[in-house]
Order: sequence, then C-alpha cells, then structure tokens
Amino acid sequence: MEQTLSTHSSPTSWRRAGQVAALWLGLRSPVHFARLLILPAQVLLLGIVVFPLITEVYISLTSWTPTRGANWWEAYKYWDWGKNYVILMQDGYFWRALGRTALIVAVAVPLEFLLGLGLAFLFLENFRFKGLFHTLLLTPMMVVPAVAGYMFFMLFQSTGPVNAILSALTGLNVQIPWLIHGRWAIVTVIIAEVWQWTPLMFLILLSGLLGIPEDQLRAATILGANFWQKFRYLMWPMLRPVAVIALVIRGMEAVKIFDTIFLMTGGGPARATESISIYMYKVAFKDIRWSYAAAAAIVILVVMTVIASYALRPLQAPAGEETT
Amino acid sequence: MNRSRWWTALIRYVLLVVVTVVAIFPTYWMATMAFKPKTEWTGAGGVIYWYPHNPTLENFRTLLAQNQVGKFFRANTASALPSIRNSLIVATLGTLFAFGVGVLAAYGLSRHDTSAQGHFPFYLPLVRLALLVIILMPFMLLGSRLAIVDKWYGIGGLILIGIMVDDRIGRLMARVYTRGPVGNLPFSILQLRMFPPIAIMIPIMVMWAAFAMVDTLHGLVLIYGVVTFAFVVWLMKSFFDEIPRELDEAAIVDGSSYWGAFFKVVLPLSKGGLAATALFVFILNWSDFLVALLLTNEKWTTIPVFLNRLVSAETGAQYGPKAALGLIALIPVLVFGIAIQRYLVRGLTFGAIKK
Amino acid sequence: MASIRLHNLRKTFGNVVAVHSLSLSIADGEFAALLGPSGCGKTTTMNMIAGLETPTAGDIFFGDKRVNDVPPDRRGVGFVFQNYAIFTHMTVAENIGFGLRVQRRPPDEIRREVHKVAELLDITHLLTTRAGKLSINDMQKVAIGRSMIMKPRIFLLDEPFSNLDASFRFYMRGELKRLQREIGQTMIYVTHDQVEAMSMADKIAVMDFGVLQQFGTPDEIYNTPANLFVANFIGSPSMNFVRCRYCQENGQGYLVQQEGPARLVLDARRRHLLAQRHRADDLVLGIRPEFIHASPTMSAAEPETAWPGRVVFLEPLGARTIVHVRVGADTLQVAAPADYRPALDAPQWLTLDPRFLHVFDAQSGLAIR
Repeated sequence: MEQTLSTHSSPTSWRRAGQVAALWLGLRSPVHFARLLILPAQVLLLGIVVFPLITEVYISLTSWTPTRGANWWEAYKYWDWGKNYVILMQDGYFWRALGRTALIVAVAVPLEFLLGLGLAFLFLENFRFKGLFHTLLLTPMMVVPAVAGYMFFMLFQSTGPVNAILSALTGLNVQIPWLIHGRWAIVTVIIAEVWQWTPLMFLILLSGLLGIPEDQLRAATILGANFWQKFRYLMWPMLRPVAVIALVIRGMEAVKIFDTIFLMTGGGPARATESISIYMYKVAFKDIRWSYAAAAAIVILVVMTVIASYALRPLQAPAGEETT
Repeated sequence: MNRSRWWTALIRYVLLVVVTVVAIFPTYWMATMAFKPKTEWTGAGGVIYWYPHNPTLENFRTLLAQNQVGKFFRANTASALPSIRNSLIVATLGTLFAFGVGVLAAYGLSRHDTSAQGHFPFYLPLVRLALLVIILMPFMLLGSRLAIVDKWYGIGGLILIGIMVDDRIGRLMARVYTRGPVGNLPFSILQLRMFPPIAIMIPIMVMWAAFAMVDTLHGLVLIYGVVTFAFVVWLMKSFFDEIPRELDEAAIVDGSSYWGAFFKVVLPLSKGGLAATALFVFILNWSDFLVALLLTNEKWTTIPVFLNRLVSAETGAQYGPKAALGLIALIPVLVFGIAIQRYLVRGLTFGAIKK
Repeated sequence: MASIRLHNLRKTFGNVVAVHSLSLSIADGEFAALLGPSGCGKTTTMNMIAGLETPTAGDIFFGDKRVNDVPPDRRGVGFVFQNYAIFTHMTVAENIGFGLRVQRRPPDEIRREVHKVAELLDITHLLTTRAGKLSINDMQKVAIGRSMIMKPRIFLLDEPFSNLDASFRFYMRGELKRLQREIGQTMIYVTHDQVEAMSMADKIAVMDFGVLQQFGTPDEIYNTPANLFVANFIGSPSMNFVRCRYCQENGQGYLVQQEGPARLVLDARRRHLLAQRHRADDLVLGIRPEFIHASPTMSAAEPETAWPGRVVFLEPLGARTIVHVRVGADTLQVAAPADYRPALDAPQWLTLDPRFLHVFDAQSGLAIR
C-alpha cells in the first residue's frame, strides 16, 4: 500500500520539500491520508482524555487541593503515597453510594427492558395512529435530563399531582412522602429513570423484533407453535444480541446518573439518593477535597473498566451473528 | 377469529393510551405550569389545577425581564435571556467542533484504517488507555516538576510524545491481537461514555482553572467537542460504511485527490446522515448539565444550570418561571428529536444498531 | 377429506383487490398449480388457504368443512415458503422436528420421525448442521421436510424452486412429483414458471390481476386457452397473434389480416361460428409457432392461404430455429427446423396448420369456439 518516495538522482531540495508536504497533506498515499484524517481526533483525545487522566492519578496520590494555594503541577509538594486510597477504602459513604448506584441500575434497567419489550410487542402489527403513538412514546427520552429532574420534583411533591392521582384511583387519601423520605426518594429516582429511558429500550427492542423474518414466524404458526413457543424458540434467540446491546448500553448510561437526581433531590434527603456521581461532586465541591475526589474517580474508573471489559464483550460480535 | 381480533385491538389501544398518558403527563404538567398564575402552582390548598384556569404569560415575563426577577429570587437577579443565548451558542459551536474532528476520523476509520474494520473488540482500548497512562506518566511528572505543563511548548511537547507513544502502542497491539483493531485512534472515545463524566471532569476542572478557561466560550466548546465527538465518530462511521467504497475509489482512479473524493463524493452522499448526526449532537450538547455546572459560574451559564440555580436559590416554590424555562429548554430538543426519530436508536447505541 | 373448495373468495388490501371472487375446487390427492405473473394474487390465495390471511369475503372448504375460522395450525396444512423461512439459528434436526417439539412429543419419537424424513429427503448427513449454513438447495429440502413431518393433508408450496439453480430445480421437480405420488397428499403449488406448472401439475389455475383466467389440465390450458391472456402466457415462445376480420366470399369464409395482405380460409365449423356473430370484424387469430411452416417458395397446393413475408430476425435455439417473419404490420414467430437458416430480409411463405388455429374476440379477449 505505502508508496515510498522515489528519490531521484538529483532531487532539488524544493522538490523534496514539496513531496514531503504532499505526503503529509495526504495527497499521495492512502496511509498518510488516513493518518491525517485521524490526527485531530488523536490530539484531542490525548489532550483532553489521556493527560487529564494522568493528572487525576497524579493528584490522587497527593493531598493537594486548590485552596492550598499551590498550582496543581506543584502537587508533588503534598505527596502522601496514596493515603487517599486507604481512607477511601474505609469510607462508608463511598461504598454506600456505589451500592446505591448499583441498586438503581439493577432495578431500573431490567424494568426498562421488560416494559420496553412489552411495548415493542404492541407495535409489531399495523394499527391506526401507530406513527402518532410511536412519536409520543419517544418524547421522554428527548427531554433534557435536568428538566426531567425538575418535572419529577414538581410531580412528586407531597401535595402534587401524583399523590392526587393515586388518591383518585384508590379512593384513599394517599400522602406518600416521595421526595422527603429516604426509601421513597430512591423509588422516585428509579421511576424517573424508568420513565425517561424505557422509550430507548422500546426503540432498540422494536428494531430487533422487526428484524426477525416474518415468514419464519408464519412458518412456526402453521407448524402449531403458540405465542410463547414462538417467543422462546424464535424471537428470543434472534433478539438476544440486540437485547444484550440494549442492556449493556443502558446499564453503562444508568451508572452515570447525575442530572436528574441533582435537580430532584440533590442527593438527599440526607444522603438517601446519593449516587456515585453525586458523591464525587459533593466531595470535590462541597468538601473541597480534590485529591480525595480524584482518588474516588480513579477507583470508579478501574471498577468500571473491569466491569466493562466483560460487559462490552458481547458487543464485539455484530448483532445477528451468534457464537455458539 | 374476527371477534378475537377486535378484543386484541381494544386491549392494545387501552394499553397504549395508558402508557402514552404516563409518557407525556410530566411534560404536560410542566407545560401547563408555565402558563399558570401563582395561585394555581401548588395543590397545597387541597386543590390541584389540572390545567391553567387563568392562563397567563406572567411566568415568561418574570423569567425574561431583568429587573423583575429580583423580586422573586434573592440569589439570582439575572434574566434568563443570556443563559438561553449561551446555550444556543455553546451547543452550536460545540457541535461544529465535534463535527470538524469527528467526521474526519469517522471517514478515516470507515475507509482507510482496515484494521478497524469488522470485528472490533470494544474492550481492547481500555488496555490501550491504561498503557498510555502508565507510559506517559513520567513525562507528565517531569513536566510538572519543570513547571512547563501550562506553557504552550510544554503542552505541545507532551502531545507530540503522546502521539508517538500512542502510535507505537497501536502497532504493537495490532500485532498482539490478530483479530484486532487499533489503528491510530485511541479508542478511549468509547469508554469516555462509560465512565461517569464527573470522574473525568475533576482533572479537567483542575487544568481549565490553571489555563484560565473556566467560564469562557472556548473552554466550554472544547470540552463539549470532546464529550460528543465520540458520537459523531460512531454515527458518521456507520453512515460512511453504507456508502460503497467503490465510489470514492472510482473518483480517485478518475484523477480526484483523496480530499476531493471525500468532499465531492462522500460528503454530498451522506447529507442525510450529516444532518441527523448534527441534530443529535446538538441535542446532547443542549441537554448537558454537568459540564456547564462545573465549568461556568456567571458569564456562560447555560439553561440547565440557570434552571438549577432557580431551584436552589429559592426555598419557596417558584414553580411557574422554572417551568417556563424548562419548557423553553424542551422546545428545540423535541422538535429536533422528532425530526431525527429514525436515527435516535443508531445514535444512542453508537451505531451498533441500525434501523 | 382433503379436497379443497374455494367459493367466491375475495381479498382486498385497502383499495387494492388482490383476489377477485375466486372459485376453484381441487380434488383429494390432486396436484394443482396456481400459475400467473407476479402480483396476480396467487400468494394471497395460498395464504388464505393456509389461514395466514383472513378472506374479505367468500368461503374456504376442506372436504365439507368450512375452515374460514380455523386457525392455521389446526387446518392440517404444510406450507413451504418462497424463501424457505428456515429457522437459521437451529440445526437441521431441530428445524425438521420443530412441529413435533411444539406439540410436546417425546424426544425419542421426534428423533425417530426426523430421521425418517431426513432419509426420505437424503439429508441425514446434515442433521447436526446449523441451518443457516446450508446451501440454498439443502434449505429447500429442510423446508419441505419440516412441513412433511407433520403429515399434512394439504401441502402448499409457494414458488419453492424459484431460487434454486437450474439443474437442481430439474431434479427437485422430479423428486416432488415422486413424493406427492407416494404420500398421496393434495398439493397446491404456486409458480410463475409455466414450464414448471405444465410439467408437474394435474390441474393448473391461471390467474391474472386477482382473477382466475382458466382452470384445467395442462393439455386443456395449452390446447384450448380460454382467452388471450392464457394463450399468451402459456407456451414458449408464445403464441402469435394477428388482428383480423371475418369476411365471406364465394361461399367461403376468410380471416383477413387487418394490416396486411394475409388471408386464411376457414373450415366449415369455424365459418359457421363466426357467421353467426353479428360483430366479426375485430378478431384476433392466434397460432403457436410450432404450427406454422415457413418455406422460401410458395407451396403450390394452396396458393390462396400461404402468407407472404420477410425474415426480420433469426433466433437459433439449438433444437430448432425461431424465425421472425414480418407479414404486413405483424411479426410472426415460426418454429423451424434447427438447420433452417434463411437470409435476413429473404422472402418467406408461411403456411398455417388450420387444425391449431385459435380465434379470439379482440374486445373481450375470449376464445370463440
């Protein structure tokens, strides 16, 4: 592929320079052209991902914090051999935030999956106003997450419309302290998360279901398979790769939950809805313990990396191609 | 048979109507709230106003007018207008920046970097990122010891070393993992999406503060560009992959330059994809809360941050103006989002699922 | 009983009429082909027989039982789809055994039955292969086997051979015919390939635009087409058509070409038939290329009826040569012997075999018999 520069017997230096320039502008060889295309991205990622990460590791090993007056590159003056990590391991708030985040993901994502799957089945056949319903159902995922947080803040006031609707439906005087009581607050967070992201699950799973050849389902019908058998023997095996992608991606995103909680409860009451992101935010900006927040971030990154290296594995094989 | 069809249709519609009502009720509630006068905001008096009985534009007036807001909000006397303007500018420029970088990389990955084709092991870049961090660490420490990491030559030198190291690692890994990926792009772009953004934002804040880029336009645009350019790369790559390679090869054979083939053949053919990706990325930038929360304080406040301030500033519930601002924030995303419905799945799954 | 009777069957999709008041009966054990160009409603008809589509109007009877409201799996039909609809993620054995598996039959029995079917189709060596990896030809067999294992009373095949390569298609035609004879099921077969229909079916139903054009044995369809569509659709190369009018001179009946010099003496029966019609000036004369004789000189016997023309095109097909001859404004195809090679533009004299003439009304397209 790579074209080598043809060195003439008496190349003038101008010509040579021109050839080099042409190479670097990607005019000569596809390899150099590709290199040039990718260069800006590489610079950007190095500058804004890799070096900050290194900075983060660096700071986390010190007790530096901006209020100490030194610039961050002088943090070596506060070097303390990773004491932050030792403290972090014993920090109950950190572990509880981690557990709480895991709980939110573990409840919300499967719920979204089941609801999305159910909805997708409703959309398999044609019916009137299908397009309208489809569009309306998608709106939650388009709502700005911070605004969604505010919406749920309004809805779940003790004297708000949700309690009023529940009262009307049950005939009782429902007064659930949604955002005030710890247990209820986390339920509210999960409801908001499910409300906002079920549409995405629905969309992904619907596109998966529509990818199943209709004739195979018809063939199974004629052979006497009932709905459950068709689902188990045909739809599920073919849907599985898509379902895995949906679960992994949603899981990945749900771990990061911040905006909604921040506007809805601010992590409270007390620390009842403090997700891992909220925890880090508080450490860095409320407690001004930057190096400690950096250490927490590094631990999270490592944990997520380990999880991701397993969780993302199914994404390697393109959807539809199974490895048995 | 006809009778059972009738029943299933009825059940379907009942379910759909219930789910749809749940899906749009929060938005509806906020929209009505924006037009309710103060007396109808809460159900504290035991009465819930399901729709505005006396619709008014007062909330919008309060929100946008500079002086009147002060009466309601002690901590925030500013009008919301600058934040709306800021959101528009930042989201647009961030999108353009992400595009400039991302589209080129996407084309490179789609056409030229054969090793990135086909089975791309998503977990490998993590190894690569870790290696990069470990190898570049001493250089960085050296740089900070010499106090040159805030100078242009310090940064430039580090990035140059970074590129060389990255290329070496890429080539090495391509040899180790034969199924492998790893052209020149550090695929950390994907796990960027996996890590809680705040984990990356902590050092970014440190560096931004050092470079005096907090609360500046270029500081915001730069970080928005990075956060969303992963989407541009994956989305545009999936669109470019759909255009047959033979087209640009034919253009090159016919005497067009590589750039010519890209600009005159491939880009015009992917107009739809470009538009969809642009709108998608705009929505992401527009919706961002965390980055703006951390990197702005006064001048470049965006809508979500302003909204948050309204919430935290006032203990008494100022529902109306906040709802009005929320409604303003929703309008562009709803319009654009519905326009690119078809591509939402592709965007949010990084092009893994095409419909 | 597994005879099938369709009575005024009709299916519309919105404003589009897919099947137009179709009535047919197919006897028990008969092999019937639904033949027609694509989009003529044959697949819709099949789907209605299988129960995959509900008819808009009309009835379907299996034997004496009306099956309109019987769900597809209770109708006892086997269906082979055009694209085979093989379950690609299962093995061949799982595919074939699927019908029994969903009936929760014991695994032993399933294995036995699968083996029996596989042997019949000669695919025992493929049983553990993933079906997605099969060749098209083998997929075809699996699709047939998967339906066969259910021992359906009625076997429906939707263009089963259209994707196969030519030699295997030829082989499968024979196989299918043999299977049908051995098992003795009623079989309905959808195809757009007239050779397939002619060579395999006991009865052929020719359809166009959702309307049944003719239903009969292959011989009937070929020799006495009911209308212009059937006449044109069946036979390769297709029938020649010449627009004519009828006239009488000297007690003889003639067909006279509308745009050209040709004329043809009619026999007494046809003369009688045409003379009775009050409108006989817009007719179509049809004759298959096989029944025209071309020669470079006028045959002395019947100078009146030999048609003068010129060669415009030669199509040597190996076994014979198709000579395109222009007579007046019409071009006729003549099936000549293989070694017949007149020069282009050479004059030709065509003699038509009067026994194989077809006369159609040009307005209605119906045959006049």
